[in-house]
Amino acid sequence: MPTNTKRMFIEMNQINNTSQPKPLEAVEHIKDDSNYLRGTIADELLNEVTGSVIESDTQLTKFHGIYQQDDRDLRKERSRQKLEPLYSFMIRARVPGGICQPDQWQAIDDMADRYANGSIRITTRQAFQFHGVIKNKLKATVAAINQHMMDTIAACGDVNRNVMCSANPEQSDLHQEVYQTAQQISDHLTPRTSAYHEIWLNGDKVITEPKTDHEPIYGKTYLPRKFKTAVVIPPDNDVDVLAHDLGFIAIIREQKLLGFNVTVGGGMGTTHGDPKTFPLLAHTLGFCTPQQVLSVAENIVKIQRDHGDRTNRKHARFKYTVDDHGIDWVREQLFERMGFNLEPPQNANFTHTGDRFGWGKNQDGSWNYTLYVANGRVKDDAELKLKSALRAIADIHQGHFRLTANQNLVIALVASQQKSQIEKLLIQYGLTKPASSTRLLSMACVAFPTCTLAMAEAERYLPDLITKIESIQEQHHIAHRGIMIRMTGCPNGCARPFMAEVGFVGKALGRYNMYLGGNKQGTRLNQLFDENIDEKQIIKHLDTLIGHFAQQGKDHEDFGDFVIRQGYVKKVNHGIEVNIKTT
Amino acid sequence: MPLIEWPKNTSEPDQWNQLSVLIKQLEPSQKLWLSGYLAASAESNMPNQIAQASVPAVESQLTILYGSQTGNSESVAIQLKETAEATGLQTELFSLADFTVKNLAKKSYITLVISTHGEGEAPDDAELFYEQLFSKKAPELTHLNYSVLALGDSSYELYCQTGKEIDDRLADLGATRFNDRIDCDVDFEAEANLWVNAVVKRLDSEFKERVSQDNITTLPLNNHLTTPTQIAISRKNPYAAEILNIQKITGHGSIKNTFHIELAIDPEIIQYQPGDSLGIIAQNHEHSVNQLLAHWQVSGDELYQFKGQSADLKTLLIEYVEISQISKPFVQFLAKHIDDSDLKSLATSHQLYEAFCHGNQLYDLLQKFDSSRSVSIQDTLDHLKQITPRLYSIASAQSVYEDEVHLTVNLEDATNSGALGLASGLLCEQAEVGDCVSIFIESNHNFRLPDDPQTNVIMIGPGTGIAPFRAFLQQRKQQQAAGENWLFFGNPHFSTDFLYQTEWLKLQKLNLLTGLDVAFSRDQVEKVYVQNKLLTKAQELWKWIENGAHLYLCGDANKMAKDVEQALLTIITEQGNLDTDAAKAYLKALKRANKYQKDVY
Repeated sequence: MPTNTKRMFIEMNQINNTSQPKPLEAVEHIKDDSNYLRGTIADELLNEVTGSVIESDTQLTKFHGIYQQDDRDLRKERSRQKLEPLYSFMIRARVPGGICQPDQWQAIDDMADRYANGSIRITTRQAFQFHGVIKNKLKATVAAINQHMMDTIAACGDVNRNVMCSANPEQSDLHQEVYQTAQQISDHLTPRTSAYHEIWLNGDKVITEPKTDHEPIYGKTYLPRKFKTAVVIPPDNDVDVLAHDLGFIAIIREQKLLGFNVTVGGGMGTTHGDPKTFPLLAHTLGFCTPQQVLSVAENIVKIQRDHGDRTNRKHARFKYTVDDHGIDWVREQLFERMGFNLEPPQNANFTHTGDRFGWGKNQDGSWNYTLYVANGRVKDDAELKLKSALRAIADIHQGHFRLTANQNLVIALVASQQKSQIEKLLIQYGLTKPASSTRLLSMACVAFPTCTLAMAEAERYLPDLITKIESIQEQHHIAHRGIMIRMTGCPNGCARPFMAEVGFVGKALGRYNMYLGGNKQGTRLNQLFDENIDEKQIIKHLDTLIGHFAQQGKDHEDFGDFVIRQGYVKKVNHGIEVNIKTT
Repeated sequence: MPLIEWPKNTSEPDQWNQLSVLIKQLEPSQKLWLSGYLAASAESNMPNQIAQASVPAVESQLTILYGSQTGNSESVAIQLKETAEATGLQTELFSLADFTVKNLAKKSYITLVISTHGEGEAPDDAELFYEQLFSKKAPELTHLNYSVLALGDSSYELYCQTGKEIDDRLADLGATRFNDRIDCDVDFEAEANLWVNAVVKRLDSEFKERVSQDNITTLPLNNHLTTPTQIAISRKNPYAAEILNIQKITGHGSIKNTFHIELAIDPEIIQYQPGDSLGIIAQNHEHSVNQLLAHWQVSGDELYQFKGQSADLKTLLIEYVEISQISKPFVQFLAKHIDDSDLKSLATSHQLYEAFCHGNQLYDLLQKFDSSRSVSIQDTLDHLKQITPRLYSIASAQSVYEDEVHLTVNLEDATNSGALGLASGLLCEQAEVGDCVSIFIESNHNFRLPDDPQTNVIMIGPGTGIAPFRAFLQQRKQQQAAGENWLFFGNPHFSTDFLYQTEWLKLQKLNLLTGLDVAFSRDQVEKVYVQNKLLTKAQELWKWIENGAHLYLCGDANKMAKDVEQALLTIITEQGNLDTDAAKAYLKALKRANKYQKDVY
């Protein structure tokens, strides 16, 4: 053991000895006592008198990809009706790299109707979500997902989540290679507990003693907090790679994958009014070869396992571990665990976050069509039969689908002879109608009515707000200059609002904090511009800002760069500045 | 001139005060019971008279018997007793639960007031008597004179069945019918009056004859423990209760419209026990009445007769005439006067009649079959019934809600012509919080928690059948009863129709509700009902029953109660290792021991 590290251990122990150790978070005890994520989930599923599971099990079901929620629109009414909240569950299916085969799409489509509320949600992390699954349908749903070669384990919970991968490369063979890396990372970091099979898939209850189950990477208390990994292929930064705990930036030279720049310590989540919480962009740690990827991923996870803060969930993400100890400490830790140092990072430039809509041709002659899906919600309604349309496409499509990190959908690898058939369906269902560039760049999280964390509307509200912003842009004759707007119902930041040119983060029903100054390359955090404002104030601000942008904005200058140049907000160098208001 | 002087009140003032205080707290029926109890205990202190009692027949005494499910028979029996005694007749009053066929040997004159419930079944308290009467061992009854008043509901297929059967059986056994049986529908008061008066008149003359022959005078029994109190609340003297809360308790998207209703009462005036029912006296809705008037093409100011009273038609229709339920006799009457094959089948097929009643009221019937108004208004009125109060099992315990009474009311969908149920429409839709409704308490002594709080209780109450169990559990909680409680509930959907769910979950957490089993019929492909849940818990249920638990069943009589009873028999057969007859006998024994009580409708 190198002496400096040893010394640090001693110092840390001394610190622990001298100051009163802080108690562990309650969730840590729940994990510890859960017998590798079993808890009493199996019994609770059989309890017919409530649609919920007990509190401690709600923490554990997350590790199985299942979130207990309730219809918040109906809470008050049901309380008067002497009915418990209308509980249902969100089930998240992992789709590593966001790639989904047509038969899987068909299955997901069926499940949405059979088990959930009839809609499918494409998430900001390339997963599927079902909402409104009631307790007695959970098992059947999870079983159906697994039957179609997807799973839900580790889709939520304090583990490595769905591994993301760029969905938009023009080079399909390289995409395939990088995608496989994402898949391998996902497999390598998947929890090994047999509880998942036992509870959901009627697996044999072979494990009776806690000792006999084991988690070689995580241990029995898993990670202190969720952990997110993304793989990206520059110059696209569709996954917002710097917003993740762990990132791999593909380094491609002359059509060959050399390896990856490794980034660590990004993350969005904050808490209103708590200055010790802030979003952070990841640091670049170094370069690794494709063969080293799994070892790097595993050991980064283990560093967080051993050093993440288990006494405070608001300070438990890896971003705080990195920020507290510094990037050099992470390098030392990694060296200690792997026995070698990473090479210095290679040059990698991002030009573009978001998706490239419409048809694009691959090098092998096949085509991709990227379809805008408003806030990732796939459903049929009076205006648009999106769900039926995609089902019709899945029924004939021979390539695959890619869920994008911006909640959109790529109909990928369409053979040139099938292109016209797909196009016919797209036109038939009205999916090729143009949308404004601002709308295409927009993103909102789920929020009300299902998300328990939501303080304000997001998915149900942003489309209307965008319509109003579009008309402001039209009034100022800059409808063509897309502005990246993201909205979340709470500061946890699922739609990565702190990287948007204009970010809205819910504070209360109808009230948002407004952030300005992210960029379209996904390399800069924005800054708080105004607090706790309603729609009227939002519109007023945007009218002023967009009006000013129309007059003073330079050619090719993005809105996010403009607001910094004009001093509306400052350029943020460290996440701690995000919530500091300049004006 | 009396032969025996009734003793004077010789109690000390102190005793009398205590007695008055006690008596004030008693319900009328409790007072009645007490009078009998005291009379019996006084008699038992007089050995001579015990010897005399075994000598057959005080020949000029009337024995009034009743078998009652909802308390109606009991109320008529009491009315008969009072009327008879006012005329100077000597009477005694028994529930059939406390009377056997053997006792008939010592009686000369009996009257039976008996209701029929469900599909032609005897009321619970009369079941043993009924069984003895129809057994091969039933004695000859040639010495006996009798008259039967049968209560029923003509909307059921086997109308007044038990009364009819008993009436015939007594004749078969050689007894003499001194007054013809009268069958009463749900609006029984007028017919019952006729019968009471006829019986009293008949006996009065017969007994007087006998007196002149035998020189025996009857005992007037009209001066027992009466205390001057205010006139008790009854269906004839209802109480105006303010509505405190009208809350729909089936959730968003439910196919059911079930409401929780809270009414304010003065606990000095209204007292009730868990298990009792609340009678609601309602008037017909003006809209429905106007529809009828429009159908008849009259203004409503015209004078008409209804059950002996004369008033303008609109008043009669609003206040007196039953128009929200269609009686079977009326359909039969209409079918006689109108030549319509559909109407004829309605009058002859009970199934069709039942189906038609669901979603149709008088107006719909007349619209459909008498659009040309071939039957006169007066003729129609002559064949309609009087509005009857609607009874609801009370959903609260007065020990917890001292000055409130709660109901669980199902509001059926409106008919095609937009009409709602009489009381349910009033409570759930037409009335507003702050309005008053006319109520009275209908005691149900056949639906009572065990006296011993240690006794375990099994409650089966799907749908609005849950109501009395809310009262039971409130009472048990209040009593801190040590006995365990097990509730079975069912309805179409878990998410919207789990009536009082949060209350049960709380009681479960408090460990008061030790068992809670639910069946939501439409939440899965194969329908699951409470009886299925009972069967899956057979072993444990059997253990409870064998250990003395009391079983309670409340709700729909037509289908549910039968299915549940069948499930219970299956459990008893399988778990108790008994054959079918033995299982039936077992269940009957439970009933007799008051360990299996039903409130079905």
